[in-house]
Amino acid sequence: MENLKPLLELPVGGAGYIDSFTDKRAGSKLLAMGVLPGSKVEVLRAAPFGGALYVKVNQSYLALRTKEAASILLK
Amino acid sequence: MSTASVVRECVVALLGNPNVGKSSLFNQLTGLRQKVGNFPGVTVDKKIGRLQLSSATAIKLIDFPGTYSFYPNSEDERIVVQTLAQPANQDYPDAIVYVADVTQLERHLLLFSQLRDLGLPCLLALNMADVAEKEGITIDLNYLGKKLQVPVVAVSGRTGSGLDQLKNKLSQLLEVDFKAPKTLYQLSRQEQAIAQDVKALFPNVNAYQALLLAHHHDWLPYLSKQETTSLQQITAKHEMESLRFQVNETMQRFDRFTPIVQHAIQRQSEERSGLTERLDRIFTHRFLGPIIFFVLMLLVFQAIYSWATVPMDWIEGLFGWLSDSIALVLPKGWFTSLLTEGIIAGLEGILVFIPQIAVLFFLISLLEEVGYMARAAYLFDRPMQFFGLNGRSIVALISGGACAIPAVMSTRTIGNWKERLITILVTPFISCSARIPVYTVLIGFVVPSTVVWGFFNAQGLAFMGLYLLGIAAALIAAFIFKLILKTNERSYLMLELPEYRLPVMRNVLLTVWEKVKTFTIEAGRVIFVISIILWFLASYGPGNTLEIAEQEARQTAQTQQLDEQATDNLIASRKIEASYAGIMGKTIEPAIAPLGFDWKMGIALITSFAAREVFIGTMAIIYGIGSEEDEEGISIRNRMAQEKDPITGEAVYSMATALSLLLFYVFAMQCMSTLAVVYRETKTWKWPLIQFIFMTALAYLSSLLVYQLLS
Repeated sequence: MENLKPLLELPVGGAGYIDSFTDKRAGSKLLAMGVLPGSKVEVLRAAPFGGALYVKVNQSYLALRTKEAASILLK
Repeated sequence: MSTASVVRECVVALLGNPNVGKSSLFNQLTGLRQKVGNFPGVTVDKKIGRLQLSSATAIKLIDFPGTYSFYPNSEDERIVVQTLAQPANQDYPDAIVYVADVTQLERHLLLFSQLRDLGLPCLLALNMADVAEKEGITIDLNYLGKKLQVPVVAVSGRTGSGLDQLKNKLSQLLEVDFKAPKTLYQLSRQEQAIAQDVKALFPNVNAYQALLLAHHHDWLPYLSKQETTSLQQITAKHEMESLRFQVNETMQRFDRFTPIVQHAIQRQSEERSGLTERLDRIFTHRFLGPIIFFVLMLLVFQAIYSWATVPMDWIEGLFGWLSDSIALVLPKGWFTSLLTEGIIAGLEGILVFIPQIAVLFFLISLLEEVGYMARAAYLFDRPMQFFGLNGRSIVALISGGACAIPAVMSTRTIGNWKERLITILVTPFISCSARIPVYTVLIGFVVPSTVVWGFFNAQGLAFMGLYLLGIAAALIAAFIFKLILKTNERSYLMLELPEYRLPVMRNVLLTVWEKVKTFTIEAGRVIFVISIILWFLASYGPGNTLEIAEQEARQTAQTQQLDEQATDNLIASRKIEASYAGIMGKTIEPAIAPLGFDWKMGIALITSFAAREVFIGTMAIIYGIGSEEDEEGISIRNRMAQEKDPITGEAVYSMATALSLLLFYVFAMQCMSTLAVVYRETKTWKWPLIQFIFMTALAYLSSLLVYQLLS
């Protein structure tokens, strides 16, 4: 379990598989949107001013805040 | 459910995730036979439409807010859970029509599978059948229906195809006795034990509803204190961990229906169309994205300004003509005055905003329909977050530059209540078009019309300064509200970025219609009442003071041998001085004297509460030059420049007074219509009152500071 890293650390263009969520409430909302442990995530682009991430999860496309991306741990 | 012999009205809930085209389908089904209200206690839109399915069945269709699951994260989503977890709720449905997008079926089936487990009759409507066909997606509807044990229809909210079939299947569903299929989700042993204990308290719920009560006992509004405590004891006894349970439930559901979907749907490609990807490379580009956004907003702004002014002029012309004609026909008196200056002016004050509202919502809902607004929210989320606002707030703030009324109404798309409230509270700081006449008349007293740095007009720069001041005030106030306002609701972005698609004009036009109707009826009432009050204050005084004032004015006019026009102007001036508004102006003079204002300006401050530009008209009446035919404000400016203090003989409109007055109009909440709309959008007088107080306080203090420093 040592080498889990948050989604936020992925560079633009990087991809990984979700392991778990560190924040209960954010995790609950992500689950509801179909972002599940085991889903593949890809970071497509980042907004200006250190803003949100534009990611692809399974077949859908989402905008996530940096705080939200930090709460998603990748395998 | 088996009394089909009498015509009865069934409640049908329309549910689905956000961005599935649920509203399109609702609009297709109900058209203009829809009403918009609010769910009890909250400002979440509740759209209701009525339609006849068959000779025996009429339905009341309720469009619920877009929801992702039974684990709610926003006020919108909580509405769905609290309605469906409570069979006694007035909106508890007899059946559910669930809308899912064919191209995203796995994800959209999560909420569906939860709804189905409530034991209510469900119908699955697969939307975008037309898109699916174009993209080479084929679906085996029979297989899907058999496996999920619900009727399935393919529909298109865009073209309206499949609607007859949907109505048929729905009326069948309502007319036969319904037996709930076995739940899709199998409760774990721990969950079963919890459900059992809950059912001992609530005998009418099924196992899954019992589990939901255990999950959400801490916020469900209809539970009694005792019930909440008992539920708390149950969850504690079984060591229930809500998130872990939710993860297990969600995973199991996906495991159940994903193989079904994969078997039922044949896709040619897994990727979304290249067009969206190519467009997003430009629209969400780090540098180009914000530039394109501001260009688009400039166009929106320009459209409100230029397109809306034409019908606004018509409305003003029409009502002016109406008022003049009535004044000619009817004898002079209080009734004619009430009709022309009170009622007609009040109606005009409402209708004149409709063009701006219509144009703004036409363009905004067009951008929303094509999928652009989600991109704008993504781009500006970070900077807006800093000020306690939402990515979508930027649209309201920019629209506020034309008029705060449609801007405040546009905040409905902001999901987080705190961010929405802050946006509503600070938007009126942005200088709207009604402030322009006031700025134009006053700015000459502050800055000369000279050229600076070889290029800029000094007055133009001062104008821009006033605008920037308004923007700064809005952002700083937002930041302060972010620190003050407390909320339990967490703020998320987690926003879907849907594919770009052509807008459905029906949806756009229905939005415009609904916004105009809501404004006219709900905010209009308040505006109308205040207009009548303002008319009364400016037209009446205590006892017969107004008649005396008129007689004195006539005598003065006779001795000075004034012509008819000048006599009328003098009478109007003396009458407003003697009226209640005049008395109020004189009463507040001690309070506004430190700002450099006299009682005449006091009267104008009171009357311009109807709309800021009324300031000019009132000043014209007070100075006895008549309010007619002064389009450019030139004669009023000249008259103001001549105004001397009766004691000291100095010019009343010194630079200090004019600047103080300008600042007052930048900051003060001088607009009853905005307050009426804020009332309508927040459902309480608390927020408009707070807004009025802090804006007026800021206006007062800054005017005081400037006047005292400069004079």
